[in-house]
Amino acid sequence: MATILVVDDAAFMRMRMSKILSEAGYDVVQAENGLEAVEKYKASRPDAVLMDITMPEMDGLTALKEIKSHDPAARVAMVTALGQQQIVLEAVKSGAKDFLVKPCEGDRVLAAVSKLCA
Amino acid sequence: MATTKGQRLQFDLDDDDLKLFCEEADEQIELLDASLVQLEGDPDPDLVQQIFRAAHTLKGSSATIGHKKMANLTHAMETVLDAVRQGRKSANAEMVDALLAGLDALRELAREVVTRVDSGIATAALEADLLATLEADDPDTQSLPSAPAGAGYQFSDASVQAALAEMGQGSSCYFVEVSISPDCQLPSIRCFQVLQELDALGTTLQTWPDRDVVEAGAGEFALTAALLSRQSDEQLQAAVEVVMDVGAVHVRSVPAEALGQPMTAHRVPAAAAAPGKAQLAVVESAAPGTDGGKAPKKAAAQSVRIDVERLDGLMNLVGELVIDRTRLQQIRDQLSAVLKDANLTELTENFEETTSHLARVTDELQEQIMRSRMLPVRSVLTRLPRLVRDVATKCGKKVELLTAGEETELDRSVIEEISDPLVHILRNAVDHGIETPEERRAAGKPETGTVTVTAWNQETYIYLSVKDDGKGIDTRTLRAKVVEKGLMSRDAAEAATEEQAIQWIFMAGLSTAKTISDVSGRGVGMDIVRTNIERLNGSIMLQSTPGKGSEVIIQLPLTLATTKALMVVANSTVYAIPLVSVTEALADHEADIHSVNGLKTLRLRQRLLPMIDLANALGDSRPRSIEAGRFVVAARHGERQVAFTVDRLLGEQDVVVKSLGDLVGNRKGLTGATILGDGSLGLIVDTASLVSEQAMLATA
Repeated sequence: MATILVVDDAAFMRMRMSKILSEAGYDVVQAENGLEAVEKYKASRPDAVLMDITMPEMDGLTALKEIKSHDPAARVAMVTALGQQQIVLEAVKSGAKDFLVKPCEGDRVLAAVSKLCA
Repeated sequence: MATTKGQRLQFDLDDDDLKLFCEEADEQIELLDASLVQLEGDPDPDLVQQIFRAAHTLKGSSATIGHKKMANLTHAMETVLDAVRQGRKSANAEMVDALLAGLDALRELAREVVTRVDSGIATAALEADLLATLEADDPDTQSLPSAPAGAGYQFSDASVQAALAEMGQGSSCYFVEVSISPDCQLPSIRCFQVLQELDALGTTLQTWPDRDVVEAGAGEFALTAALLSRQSDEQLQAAVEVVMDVGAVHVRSVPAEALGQPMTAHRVPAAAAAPGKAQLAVVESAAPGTDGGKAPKKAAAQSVRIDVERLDGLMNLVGELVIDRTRLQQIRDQLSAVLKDANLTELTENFEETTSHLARVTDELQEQIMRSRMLPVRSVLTRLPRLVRDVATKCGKKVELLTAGEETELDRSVIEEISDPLVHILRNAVDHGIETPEERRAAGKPETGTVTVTAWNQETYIYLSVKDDGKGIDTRTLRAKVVEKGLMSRDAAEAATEEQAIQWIFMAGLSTAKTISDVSGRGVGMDIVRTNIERLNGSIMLQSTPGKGSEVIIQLPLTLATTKALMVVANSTVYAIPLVSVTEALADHEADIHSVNGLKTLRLRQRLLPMIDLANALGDSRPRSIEAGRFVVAARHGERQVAFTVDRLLGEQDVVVKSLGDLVGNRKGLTGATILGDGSLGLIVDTASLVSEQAMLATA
């Protein structure tokens, strides 16, 4: 089964996402900031990444760019709250494949992930 | 408006989620509590970013569990904070007030998640207040770009020229219409993604709305494009449908002769389908990259969350281990005597070595587990800025709070107990210590007073100091007060030195404020504060210089789970007297004992201490054994001292404190019990209450 990297500094959101994904049979790797996400990406080569935007240490946009420069084929979906449209746009320009708007419903997360992994 | 107070609420989270939700919400709320007041003026950008993130996190998790009120309120707070973060607004007092009011409501709303009962908090007014702080001089009213009304799409001359040039070379010109599902929350991004797909397959000649408008995030739910491509219309259709949230896609090829004619829309754009959402997306647009840039080089904290109960369980187990260690050492001593006689030196040595090693490891383990229960004192200090701001405002004073040593760690049990006394001392400092701006100016001081709260560690103690640069304690008022209240004779009051007089602040029944203010009044005096501190085996000191200010220093043990005690026997029962309160222990033949008014009295360092039988004082009425009262232990609580008579002294020991509640229920004069090396029970004496009670009885 595919491995998904879930990146969010908010433990609650991270756990929610991970739960939805692992119940659907995905392997989940977690990271709590952009810096950790880049490291974990290199280490575990996930099939897809769900990347929060607003995070300490390194924000999601920077992490996306780092990951993309390391692996241009990386499949990353940004997880955004309302109010971050311009950042999401920037992310899409930088190679993000998709985005999810918080709060994320389980079905939507799974649909996005299966599309990312396809 | 009908109130919903008391109604049952439902949230989308199970018990595991609940715990995490609450922990995180508490953390963020605490962070806001500590930092919001620092927003005013010229705040540190990192701080603003941190505050923004806290509101943002709260918004995300509350929306996820379906807590609409909380999500809406945090959304409004976030909007305000975002404006500050981007430098569009600077925080003024009204804004901070609105944010603090929001924070108070947030606390209640977060509690609703636990109680599942509607607290009846109305958030609409708070949200309006918050957003009103942005309105004043905000030119940020973006106009919605006008979309073509679905009538006709006219190719520009440039598009027609480019199309004609390419169409002979194997390319076709396509007219592509795409609608975005009305459920989509960021339709502009989807439109942009469609554009990206089209760009990859050909040359986009023209789009409706313009590319710039799409990128500006206008919130269009439809995109129409003129495209030159070598791909078939099916290929284009498939490529566009890859994008999430894409609804209908219609691709038709445009013959060269039709290029100059206006194109008719295949369908009416779905823009009107969800105007609310589209608008939201516009109003909220945020500048990119505001929160990245410089990533501080701080290693990510390696930590896990552990249930407090589990830690307490571990601590209990280690407590048992410590008891066994002590027992084992006793057995070793007994065995050693026997084994030596039997000439088994090697066995004896091995056994002794193993026992000492076990003792060392147990000590270490105890220390480590105790440390893992420690929290930075920050969690207490974070509440203080808000408190100081509130109190200062109420008293019409200007006060700046400085804190230092937030990283100092102490046991969570101590943290829970220390908060109230600290708050009280701080209230006093602001209310009674710091002068009004006028008084300060007259005294040649800066108008803004300073209160400094500092925490630090030293050996096995933690110290907390609250220092103000106010007027200091007026001992003349104090002397008059103690006489007036009948606490002391006029002569005694006059004879006391300044230093002694200052300590009267801690006397029961004394309030120095001329009237009880609603700030530090509340009927709790410094005497209660001191009693509470001493109950924790701590002590409190006060220094004051007239005109310069006062400093209160609290000394506390690092943990309440163990304590150092002098072990004594009184009428065949073992008692542990906490060492902090013991001033001296001596055999009765060394003691200078007098009879004063028929009462046995110990003269110790020019003081007369009433002598009290410890067993008696603790209500042990069993017949006495013959060795009764051969030793004397002088113990102190604040200024009061008494001498307890006991039968035997067993020496100092680290005792693991167990609650009496589990064993016999609470008993006066005792704080707890401990298991001794031989497995029997020792009782821990509550010196604070016993000494004051006995000293009072003796003087009565």
